[in-house]
Amino acid sequence: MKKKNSVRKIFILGLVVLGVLVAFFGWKQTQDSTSKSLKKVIIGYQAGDEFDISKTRGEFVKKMKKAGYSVTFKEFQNGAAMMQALANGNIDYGRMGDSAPITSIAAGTKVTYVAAGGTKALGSGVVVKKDSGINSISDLKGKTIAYTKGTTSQYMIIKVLKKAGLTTSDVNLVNLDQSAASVAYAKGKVDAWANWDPAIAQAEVTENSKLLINGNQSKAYNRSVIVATTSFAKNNKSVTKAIIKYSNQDMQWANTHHKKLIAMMVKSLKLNKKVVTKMVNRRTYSMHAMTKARVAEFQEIADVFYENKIISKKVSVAKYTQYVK
Amino acid sequence: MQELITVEDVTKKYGNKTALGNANLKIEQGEFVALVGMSGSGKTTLLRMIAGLEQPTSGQIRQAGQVVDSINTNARVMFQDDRLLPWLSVRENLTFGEHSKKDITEADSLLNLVGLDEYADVYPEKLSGGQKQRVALARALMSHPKLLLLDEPLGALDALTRLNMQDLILQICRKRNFTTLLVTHDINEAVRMANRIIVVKNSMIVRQVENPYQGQDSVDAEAKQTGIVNDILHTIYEKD
Amino acid sequence: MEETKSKNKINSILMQLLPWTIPVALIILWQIAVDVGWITSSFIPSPLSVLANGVSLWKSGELPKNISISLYRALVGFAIGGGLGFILGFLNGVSKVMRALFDTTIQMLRNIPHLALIPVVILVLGIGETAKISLVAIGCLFPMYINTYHGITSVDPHLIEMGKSYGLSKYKLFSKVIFPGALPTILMGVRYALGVMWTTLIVAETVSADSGIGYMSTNAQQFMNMKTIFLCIIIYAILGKLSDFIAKTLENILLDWR
Repeated sequence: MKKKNSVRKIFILGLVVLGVLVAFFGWKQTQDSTSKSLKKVIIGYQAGDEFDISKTRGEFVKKMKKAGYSVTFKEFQNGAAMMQALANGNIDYGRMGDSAPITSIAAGTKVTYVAAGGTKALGSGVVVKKDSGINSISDLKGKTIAYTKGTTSQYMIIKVLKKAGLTTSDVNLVNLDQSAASVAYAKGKVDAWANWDPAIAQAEVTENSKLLINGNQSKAYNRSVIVATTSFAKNNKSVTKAIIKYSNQDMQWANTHHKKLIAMMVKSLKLNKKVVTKMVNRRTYSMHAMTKARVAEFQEIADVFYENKIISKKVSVAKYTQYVK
Repeated sequence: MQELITVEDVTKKYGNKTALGNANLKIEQGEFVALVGMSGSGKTTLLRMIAGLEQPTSGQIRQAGQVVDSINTNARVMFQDDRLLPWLSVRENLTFGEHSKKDITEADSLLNLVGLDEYADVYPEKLSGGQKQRVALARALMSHPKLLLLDEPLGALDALTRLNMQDLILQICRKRNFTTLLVTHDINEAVRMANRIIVVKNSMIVRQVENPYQGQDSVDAEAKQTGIVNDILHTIYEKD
Repeated sequence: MEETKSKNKINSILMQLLPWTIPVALIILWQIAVDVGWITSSFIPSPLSVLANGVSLWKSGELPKNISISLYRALVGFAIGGGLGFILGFLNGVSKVMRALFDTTIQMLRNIPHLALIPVVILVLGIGETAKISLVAIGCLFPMYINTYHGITSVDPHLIEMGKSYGLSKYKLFSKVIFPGALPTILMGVRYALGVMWTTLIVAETVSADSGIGYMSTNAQQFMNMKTIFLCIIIYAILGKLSDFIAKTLENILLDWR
């Protein structure tokens, strides 16, 4: 009895020590190796976006380091979580879709548009199954459409319905988050799904689907933007400049190195190569400072949101924009 | 003989209910005194006050001249239930986990005294009820207390084990010259073990009986003991 | 005699294997169902492909990295939360003043779901390691607190009275009577807290994480990478079983008097 116990004791002790060692190894990995003399800049990103490319490629961090900034990337699952982190000052910059800042600004968050990227127009829109019998946007009448509240897909839906001469009451809208919508669509619980790449490309490749209308046709372009907290943006114009410059260099590389980019993204997103190829091939990457044209584009989103009572306050995008030149 | 315990005009009340009224009692060094009475008569209350586990509402208890007004660490109580610590071995129950050589030697010799030396390393769980009470007795004897307080320690044992334990306790107390106060509802037990029997009835000390036949088991002595038992029974059941 | 002995031995081995028959049978059934085509493998990948996915993630270094980081967060959070819960439970168990001061507050906080605390934790502690570890700590605190408190207050008062009457010092009274008496209940708290530790960690690792098993799982969820999702579920099950096993064995060792 006693002997059995001591064998057990040694075994458990070994297991616990092993656990602690592994945990220590984990702790080591969470420690940043960046030196302290550099100014710290924390950037929020989402899987597969412009900063994810920069992060995976590695050039961006090196260049920023040379310029005197130590960059830390933080990944977020969606724009809402990122806005929350921005509002609390936990991150300095965040990359998100063009609609998310509007709802946050209307809710009183002090953020500023500092840069705009390329659009996902060709990879954004409403997908339906090829055999669904829906052949034009006017066929959407009476159908069930999945979207995600507070994201670009909400804007997309309004624009698409308006183009078809329909209103939100002519269709059955269901607010689902990405993963729930994906299952619901695949299982045929919803007829159509307003979303963007890579989910759209994936639906087209694996779910026998077609893009009913894309962003260029609906005028819901789904552009990438970089926002910063208003106070940070005011005091760190040079950081913003450096970010735009080096990010755009990565984007030009991305436009000319599709093969490498696809291989990189297949690995980091763990998606089917066909899906990634489709997504990359219909997209042009860029990153630029804000312009009047961009402000007008985002102002329209704000106005549409206000008209449709998605936000309760008029938002003047120009007031929340910084032009770095 | 030197006086060890003095109980002076002690009253204990729980709310309005009197558990013990105006008790006076003296116990001398080396005496074996038994407190008898029906359950609820107040005998255990008196023992608990002498142990310092409860305080008198009025009056005073002194041990060797010192007023007992908190836990009386010069007395050792042996409770009705064994109150052994199940997570300590028998020996550790005596030493409370001390590992000093002196404690261990004393514990082992006491376990030998109560005939349990071979069980020193087992957990109490493995022992019978009588064995457990013997461990509890050995524990009470550690570092030779000035006063032993036995609170119906044999109440839960079967008749035969009980008789053996009575002999063992009496033998040890006489051999080692302990001063002992035994609370029991078994008058035969009291008359067998004590040299003086105190009768408690309706929360009052009503009678004290000297017992010259303590511990004797000749036929003649047993007859005399039976006489005393009957006498005490008469006092207890007598109508007021 | 010999025969019955060996028969008994076989019986006891069978009894030990019995708990594993259902999981193993389910996995085999699952593999067959995918192979035969009863379920579409794009939504429910076969166990073998999940395993293959695990092997390749292990080789790429991603799996060891994420497991070790998760383990680090879990253990540190458990140590802080469990430790605090124990200290608070102990103080409230022994002191009436402390009980009056803390208990109501703790009981109120206890019923808040951890998920609801995420925005507050982000607001106060940011999104770094501190926030994740704090969430785990909060999760582990309450079961440890309640069990320690309950364990200490429900120690047989007769034994405490005996200890006092035998002149034990406060320290001895605690170390020899109260603590061992409360230990079975406290260890139950440890077991429960270990369970909560893993479930809270999944939630904590969805808060701007770029590492950890919870991150792997939510990231995979975003792109419906079912193989990785299943892999993460299995890893959680294994880690949970392992920590439960450690706690259970610890109980057997510490409570060998039972």
